[in-house]
Amino acid sequence: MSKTTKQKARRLLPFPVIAAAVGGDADAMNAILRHYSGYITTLSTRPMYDEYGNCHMRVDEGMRRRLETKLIIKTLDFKLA
Amino acid sequence: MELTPTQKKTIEHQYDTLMRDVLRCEAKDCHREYARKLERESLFSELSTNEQYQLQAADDYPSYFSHFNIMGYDIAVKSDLLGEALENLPEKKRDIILMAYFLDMSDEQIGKLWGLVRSTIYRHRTSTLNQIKKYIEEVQSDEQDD
Repeated sequence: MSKTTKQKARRLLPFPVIAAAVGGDADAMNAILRHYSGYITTLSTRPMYDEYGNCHMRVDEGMRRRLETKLIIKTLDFKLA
Repeated sequence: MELTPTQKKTIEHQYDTLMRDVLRCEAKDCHREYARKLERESLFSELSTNEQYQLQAADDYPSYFSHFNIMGYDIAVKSDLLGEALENLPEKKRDIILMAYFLDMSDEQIGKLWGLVRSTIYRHRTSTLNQIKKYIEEVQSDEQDD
């Protein structure tokens, strides 16, 4: 039950935005990046150690950029049925 | 061909699932890469002195060496001390040392070259070695006194 409500609560990107982004529209692509930015940030958060050996959870910027790039590449590859 | 609203909804879902999969897998790849780097790379600041020495190379210039010519071969001696010691020797004695230790010739071969017997060369060679030793020890003790 909780799973289905969670899935229902997940906002989906509207079809026109996807179609425009696949077609190479920059604004639509930005909208997609914004849409997934939360997920990307979560994925690219990792423990970092400072010079005293203390552990902090920080967003790895390099990894975030890499995920964003991958998202763009895959969106451009996406086949609209 | 216009898609029906249901088909559009399906594509929205397909797109969302695919992108989440892609991102998750890429993140996994990233983590794997970091783990591999951690295993194989180390910081310069954490290298031991010995390991750091292995990373450096010094240029060699002809002027860094003392040069000696023997039988058409150019012999470069890197050590300043040894070069000086060799330069201070009489020519014949220096030639014996150069031939014996840089050209790998035996006493007999050197003797044949100059029409001398093996034992003479041996005597010259050992006495010259002692002379070099004495010279080097003198210089070193002088340096210590300074």
